[in-house]
Amino acid sequence: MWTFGKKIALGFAVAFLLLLVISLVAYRSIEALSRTSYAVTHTHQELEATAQLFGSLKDAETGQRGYALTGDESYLEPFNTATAAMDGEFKNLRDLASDEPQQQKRIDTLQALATAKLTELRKTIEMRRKLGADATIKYIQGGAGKHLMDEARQVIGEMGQVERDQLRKRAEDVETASSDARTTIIAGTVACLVFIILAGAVLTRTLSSQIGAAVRHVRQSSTELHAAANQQAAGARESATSMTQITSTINELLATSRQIADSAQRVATIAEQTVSAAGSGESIVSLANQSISGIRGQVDMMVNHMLELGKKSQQIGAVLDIVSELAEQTNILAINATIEATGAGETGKRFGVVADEIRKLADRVAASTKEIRTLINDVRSAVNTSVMATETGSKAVDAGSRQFADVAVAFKRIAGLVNTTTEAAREIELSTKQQTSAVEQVNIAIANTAQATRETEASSGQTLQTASQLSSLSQDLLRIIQPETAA
Amino acid sequence: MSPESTPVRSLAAQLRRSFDDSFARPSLSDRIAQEDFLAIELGDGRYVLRLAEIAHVAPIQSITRFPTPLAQLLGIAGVRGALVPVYDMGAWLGLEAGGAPRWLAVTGAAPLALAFPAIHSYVRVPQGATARADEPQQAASRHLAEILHHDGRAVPVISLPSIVAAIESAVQALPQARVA
Repeated sequence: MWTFGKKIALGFAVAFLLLLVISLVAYRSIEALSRTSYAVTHTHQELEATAQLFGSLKDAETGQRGYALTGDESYLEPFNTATAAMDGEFKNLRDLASDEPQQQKRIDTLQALATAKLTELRKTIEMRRKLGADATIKYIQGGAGKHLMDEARQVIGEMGQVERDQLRKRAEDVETASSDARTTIIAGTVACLVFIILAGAVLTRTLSSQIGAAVRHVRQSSTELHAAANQQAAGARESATSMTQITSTINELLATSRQIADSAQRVATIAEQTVSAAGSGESIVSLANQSISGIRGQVDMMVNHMLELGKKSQQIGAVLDIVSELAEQTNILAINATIEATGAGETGKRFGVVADEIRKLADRVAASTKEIRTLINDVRSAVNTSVMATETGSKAVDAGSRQFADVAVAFKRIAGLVNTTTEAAREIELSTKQQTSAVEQVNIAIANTAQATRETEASSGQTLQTASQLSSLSQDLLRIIQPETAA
Repeated sequence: MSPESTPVRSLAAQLRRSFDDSFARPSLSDRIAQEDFLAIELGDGRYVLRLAEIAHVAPIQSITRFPTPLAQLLGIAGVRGALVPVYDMGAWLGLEAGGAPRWLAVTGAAPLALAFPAIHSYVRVPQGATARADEPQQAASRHLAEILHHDGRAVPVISLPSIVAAIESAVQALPQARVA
């Protein structure tokens, strides 16, 4: 996988190589031009040194001719000056042409000719001093000195020709190097430009594609981050609400735990009181048992009286049956008496009145008998109910008596159980206090958690804002790199 | 002495005073014509017998049964030293038995008795308190030709002469050989 850095580095490396090649070519061309320039300068120095040597030689001849013509010693000054400088000038020329063996040979020839010329000039000067002007001019006209000067002029001409040939050759080298450098620089620049354009296009396309994909991915991620932040914020809000409810519940639990602790303490106190009450209750139960035995005797006596009353009621009922029968028979007798009195006519009328009253009396007796029977039946029913209730009560008393014994045992058990309860209540009190402490710690932890939840909610808001900014930024970036897709 | 005895004593005193006063007052029958009835329980209803049609009323001591073609004849019984045939009153009226007969009404027209289960009360009303029944033509109802209006209700009046006539007709219709 080619990363952006590798691609850009590769592009810059290739461009740098091209520039390096161009620079190397230019450097070599400049070096060549510099060397050629130094060589040209050297050649010019050689030409100048040659011209200066030939000028000194001509100055020496000029001084010799002027002295020969005039005999004035002052005309010998150029001769003396040139003679004094000639050795140095030869040395300079030899140094300049040290890398040229042919030129060294020509310098040797030229120096021999110059030495011969100077010797001929000194000879003529001495001749002028000793023989006069005519003999000297005659000797000069012999042409020996001129011949030496012509040879020297020829050698100097050859040396000058060699140096001019070198100058021409170096001018051609300079032109060749310059042409190569121009060609290389122009071609390299064009190639570098083409490469940079191509590399830029490829990089732009690749980077646009990859960065666009990355930006779209960032955009999608920012959208998901937005949704996640929203969910996180909602979750944080729900958590905050839940934390508030949990805090309320914990506070209620705390209050309840404290109440339980207080209640357990009260239970322990009450249990202690219950132990003493159970002890006194046991003795009270014993006394109550004795009282129940007395009640049992009274109830038995009451049952006997009730049964006796029932028997008496039955006897009264039998008497009432007799009375009722008598009333009925009296009624029939009265009816029959009435019938008989009616049959007796006027004489029986008074008897009929008596019979009628007897019948009425019998009717009333019968009615009263019915009422009494009803009352007797009510009494018997009440007696039976009372007997049954009393017997039930007697049985209940028996059961109560037995149960009182059980109650006494139960009181002992209660005392033992209450002791256990007291210990349990104390343990509950201790445990509840520990629970209260733990709940307080939980409450503190929940408060911290609630604070963290609120911070999470705030952070979610910040994340939401950041996601929005990231989405906007990715949109802007996409608009910059791919305007057609961003639109 | 229980408190309840005081009302009983006052009731007894009231009874005694009423009994004594009845002999001091003039008889009501001297001033207003009255008619006496005996109310009885028969079947599921209440009926009245005209007292003038009864010779006397007696409790049933015992009834001696014997073979007879008359289903309404219960047997014979001794009443005041005489033997009388005893007939079931409800059977002549076409009623279901409302219980075992305990009383006998001995008629004055003929020496026979009609048995019925229970006496309800003695009824004395002004003369003319009865009225004719609406449907006297039916067989059972021809013995109930009148209605007595008493205490806000209409009570059928059993005609003992009518029943006696029916009994005599039934007896005469029996074959003579078997009667002999």
